[in-house]
Amino acid sequence: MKIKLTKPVLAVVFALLLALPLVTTNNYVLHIFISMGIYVILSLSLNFVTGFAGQLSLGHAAFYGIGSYVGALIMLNFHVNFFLALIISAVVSGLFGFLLGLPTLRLKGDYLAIVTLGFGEIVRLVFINWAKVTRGPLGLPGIPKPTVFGVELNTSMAFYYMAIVMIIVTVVIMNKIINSGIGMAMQTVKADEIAAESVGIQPIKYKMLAFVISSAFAGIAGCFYASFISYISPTTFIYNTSVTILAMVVLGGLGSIPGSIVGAVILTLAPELLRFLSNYRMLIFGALMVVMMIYRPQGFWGAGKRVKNIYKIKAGGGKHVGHIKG
Amino acid sequence: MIIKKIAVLLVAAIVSTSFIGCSSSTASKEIKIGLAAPLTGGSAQDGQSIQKGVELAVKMANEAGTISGKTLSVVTVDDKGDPSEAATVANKLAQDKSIAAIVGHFNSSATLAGAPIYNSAGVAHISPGSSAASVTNAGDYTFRVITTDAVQGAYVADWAAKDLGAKKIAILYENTDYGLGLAQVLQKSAGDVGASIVMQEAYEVGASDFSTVLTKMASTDADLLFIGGLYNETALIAKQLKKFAMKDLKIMGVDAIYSDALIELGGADVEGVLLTGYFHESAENKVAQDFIAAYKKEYNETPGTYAAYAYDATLIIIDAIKNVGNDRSAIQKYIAGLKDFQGATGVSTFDANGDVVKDPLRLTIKDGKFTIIK
Repeated sequence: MKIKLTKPVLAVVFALLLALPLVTTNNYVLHIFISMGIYVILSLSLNFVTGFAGQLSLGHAAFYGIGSYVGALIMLNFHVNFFLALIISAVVSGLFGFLLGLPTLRLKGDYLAIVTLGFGEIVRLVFINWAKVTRGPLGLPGIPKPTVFGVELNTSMAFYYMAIVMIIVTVVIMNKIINSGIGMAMQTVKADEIAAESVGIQPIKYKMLAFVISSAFAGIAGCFYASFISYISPTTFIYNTSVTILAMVVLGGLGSIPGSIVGAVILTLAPELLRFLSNYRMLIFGALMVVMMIYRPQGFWGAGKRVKNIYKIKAGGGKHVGHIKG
Repeated sequence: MIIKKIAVLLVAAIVSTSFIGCSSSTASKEIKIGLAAPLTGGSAQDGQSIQKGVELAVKMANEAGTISGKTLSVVTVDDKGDPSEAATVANKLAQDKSIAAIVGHFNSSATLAGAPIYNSAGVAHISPGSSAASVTNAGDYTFRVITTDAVQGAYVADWAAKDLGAKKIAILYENTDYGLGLAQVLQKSAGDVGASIVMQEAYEVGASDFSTVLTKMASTDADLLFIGGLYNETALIAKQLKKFAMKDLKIMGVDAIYSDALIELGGADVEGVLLTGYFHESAENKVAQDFIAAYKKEYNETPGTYAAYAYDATLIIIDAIKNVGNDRSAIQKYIAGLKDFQGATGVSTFDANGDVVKDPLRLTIKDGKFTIIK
């Protein structure tokens, strides 16, 4: 499959997405697309740290959860406006990313994966056991919807367009960073830490940056989720969710922005399309993922041509990641 | 290359239209009842018995005759017991206008995630298993046939302190919305009836070794152990408790442990366990007796608590459809005004919040069987 993400193709996809709520009033369809949007942001953010900076994280749901709880709690207790809450959740999640990164980013590969796994569990247990604040397993119901000038945005359509805007903002920011000097340095660290150090790039600094940015975006997704579903409980932010997000990144293709989007879309859509299989649904879903990984280990939209792409940018020939073939 | 591009776009278009198209089919010969339950995942065992209860009720209703020429059918979706999945399937059911009302969800967290969607779509849903206090305020379209933890917790405290003379109560509860809810209520009501809580410890669902908390309890002089959890863990706790030789200690649970699995797993060690229950075959309740007989015939097993609750929820919906047709808001009004509905789990009347009010039975296990304490 060779699809170039040329401007016309992007424009068509974008126009179709914008028109969707006008064509259908089916809340179920919109709900799936919004969930997809949340997962797109989550997989993009995890891809940033795992795909571009090369650090395997198994605790991404923790940052998602922190954003969710921070957003929900300040909206419920202090009646903070949703959009401000979105920013605060991003900052707090990013801060936790920084705190986790401080001692752990010196670790490599498997060891880092285990530490992030542990962090994810700790955060989940805090949600469950800090009952005075989080209401523990009872969860937080009645999280308010966003309001703009006193008008409550409680329709699926409103959330749908907000999700689109958030995805565009996320993609644009990530694209900018990745194609900047910082992004290049990050990918150098991923390719070879020693070589990076020898040319004066501090691996820790760039790993940390990737970690913080990634956590902040996961926090935004969390806050959005909290307001969208209006109820959160610790059962959403479990290890399973971290693995699902990682699967999206890997299945879509590590180190590729379109890949992460495609991965998230497929892995949210497939379980819904397979609903007719009733109890065998997750079984078949798992089998499909195995088959997929055997026949397409680089993912749907892998960064196979990424190296070439960098040369292209250096030579001033290419524009950005949009030109990756796969 | 262009052909491939077009092919991909075509596939995308087909996928999206198949989504949009799924709402347009309206079968005129059928009235649909939605069912959202955890058919897979951690609560799958209860979810499947809920499914059996619902399907049995619908089958019996169809055998008894059609409702103004229409037959009933069930649309089942799996919520995995997960709130985000519950919100998705709630939208799926609420969207399908041919579904008159919904039985669901089981886990309180799933009900709380689904409730805003049902309420804004204006379709009634009756939960067969969500007993958390916060479900009370979930909305006008949210009902449940199970009493809140507040009612059961207060009832249990009363029973333990006044009739059994328990003064020191130890609480072991599962660390979920359900267990914590029960523990909190019991702790509150124990003081009112003059009993004290000497220990309150949580365990994780699926835990198999309780020796640490039981050792801790043995060092207190508790005379009653209350378990806020399900049958699997209760059976294990009762078994492991034997080696502490606390002879006078009574074990008490709520209706969630009413399942044959408790006796199968616990054997002789669960003899004498006390529990509240809402249905029993020897109770003087014809609906319950009919239900148990039909369930045994259909599935060759004894129904558990949640099958009975699901059966009752479905009966109420069927009753509403018989009386007011399949109009969603008429069904909601009918259920809200329902008084003294005789179901398998007792007489149901909904209060202003859509909570049910009914008195439990007092049960114990004697000679490997649940028996009513007279």
